[in-house]
Amino acid sequence: MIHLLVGLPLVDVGGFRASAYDTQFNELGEEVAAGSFALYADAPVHRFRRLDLRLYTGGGLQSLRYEAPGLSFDGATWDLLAELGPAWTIGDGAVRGFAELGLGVSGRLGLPDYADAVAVFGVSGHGAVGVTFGRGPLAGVVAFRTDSVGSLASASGDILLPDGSLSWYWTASTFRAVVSAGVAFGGGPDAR
Amino acid sequence: MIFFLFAAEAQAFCGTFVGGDGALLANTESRVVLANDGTHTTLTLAMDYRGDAADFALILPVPEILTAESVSAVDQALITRIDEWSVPREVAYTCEDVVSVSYNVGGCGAVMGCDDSNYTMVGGGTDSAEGSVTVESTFSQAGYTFVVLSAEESSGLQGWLDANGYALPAGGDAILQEYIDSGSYFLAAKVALDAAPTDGQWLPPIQLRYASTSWALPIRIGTISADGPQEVTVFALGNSSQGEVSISNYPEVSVEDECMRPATEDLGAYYADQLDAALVSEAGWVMEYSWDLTANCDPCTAATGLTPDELAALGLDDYHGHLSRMRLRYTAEQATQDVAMYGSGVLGQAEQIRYIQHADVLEGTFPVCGEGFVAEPAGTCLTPDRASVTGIAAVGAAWAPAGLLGGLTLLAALRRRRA
Repeated sequence: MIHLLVGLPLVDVGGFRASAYDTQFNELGEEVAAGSFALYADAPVHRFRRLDLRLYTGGGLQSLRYEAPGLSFDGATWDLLAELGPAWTIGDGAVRGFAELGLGVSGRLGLPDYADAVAVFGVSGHGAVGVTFGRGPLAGVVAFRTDSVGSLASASGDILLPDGSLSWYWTASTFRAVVSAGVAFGGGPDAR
Repeated sequence: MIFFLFAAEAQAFCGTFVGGDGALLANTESRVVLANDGTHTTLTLAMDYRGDAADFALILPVPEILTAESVSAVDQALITRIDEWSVPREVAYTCEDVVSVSYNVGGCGAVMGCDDSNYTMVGGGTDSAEGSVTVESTFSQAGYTFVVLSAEESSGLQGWLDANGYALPAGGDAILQEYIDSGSYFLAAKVALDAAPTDGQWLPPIQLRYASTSWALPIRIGTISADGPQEVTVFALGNSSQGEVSISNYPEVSVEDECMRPATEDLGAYYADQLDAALVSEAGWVMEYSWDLTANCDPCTAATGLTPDELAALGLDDYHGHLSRMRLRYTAEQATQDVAMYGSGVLGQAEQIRYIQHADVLEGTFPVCGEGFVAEPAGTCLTPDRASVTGIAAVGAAWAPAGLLGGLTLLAALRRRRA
């Protein structure tokens, strides 16, 4: 079956951070908005006796808005991933568990305000456990997964303010713990 | 790019000038460095002067009988150092200074921006008693001949000064009597210069050390020989417990700064106009600089800050202290009290007079002096530019297994539950 899921990160480390201070080291601004989401799709590419070899794809967005007097800073990070790995189905009833692992490549695009974008590619990996509800051509899926991208890549910037400066920092490294929900379709038994 | 403000034409003094031969003398600028550790004060005086005499004298009230050990010479360069370190300044920014970015793409070296700002500096007796006057001590030091006097009546003091070649202007009796009544002694100092000046120049700086628990500066006596408005630059060096030092008995006024001004206009003249506008009607002072000694500056006007040795030479042994620079202006009529100061105990202040050279691209970042922010600036440094992408590169995978490890951990937990 093909899985399509929307993920809501519970833990999201990486992407942009920003802060602004005056010359007396008093913080000038505040983070007014931050959020992220992810979309996942995976499908079996080969079926073994006890597991599927699946192709995992996905993408997501992390965004931040920081506002200081006279200036607001937006930073957004888009990422795409393509991974390959095993998936196991646990159980045989209307409610079945599954577990999966993936390893592949991830591209991340950082979009800071007032500066060039920065793009990097890296190795990514994930692990997930979840439950599939129902049988037939369309089933529900909920899962908990961890995603990570490792990188030494980073970017940073300083923007002069009339009475201080705003600094931002971006890292390509990320770690997410995500709750996701979606559908499974396409028919065919999962391996077990 | 930094521009120093060189001292504008001003009148100043916290003692009073007298001419040894009655010649007309006037002080054009005074710089006073005060350091007080809670029990002792170190007062360093640097005085500019105008006049047509080569012999100079000054009279200064002091709280105790000074001796040769409590008076010394100070290198004029030291005064220049503390002045240039704290002087109002102007900086020229480019967009690279306003928005600096550094990219580190997996060590591949794709980097842009992040140059440091490009700073450039420009200019800116005897032991006998005569009448009610007692000669407490006499000594020579730092090229000066000093006499410490005590007096009971101002008329007697005036007479002694006249008789001994100190041509004090008439009309100062009441002020002298105030100091006599408060228990002050008088330090009369003479210095013979090599030649009469053809233009203003500096007298050899002198430094006095005396017991004092408070921050005070005797400006009243200076009004006896005042020639127009008086202006004194006070550098107060507070230790780490005293922090920022402020004047308590004259009003603080502010001048507009942190704004852009025309690059073509002389900074010294511009700042003088700002001071004139701010100090137009009454005596007052401007805090021109207030910064911890160990902290950095923004921007710095010298490559290195004041060193512990330099601070010790000015009377401060605590390198973790604070420098407060105050510009005080008053007329003889307005100077009704000597200046009283206090240590606020506040450290971490970081104030300075700074101007930015006007550039159209900075209008989104800084206001224009006297006008404020430009309503709709065109083409500022902050115009977003997302047309280019920097640093396409493969990155390391040090973190990548973390997601797999997380999944494996979950799997292991599930298998244990099934078992």
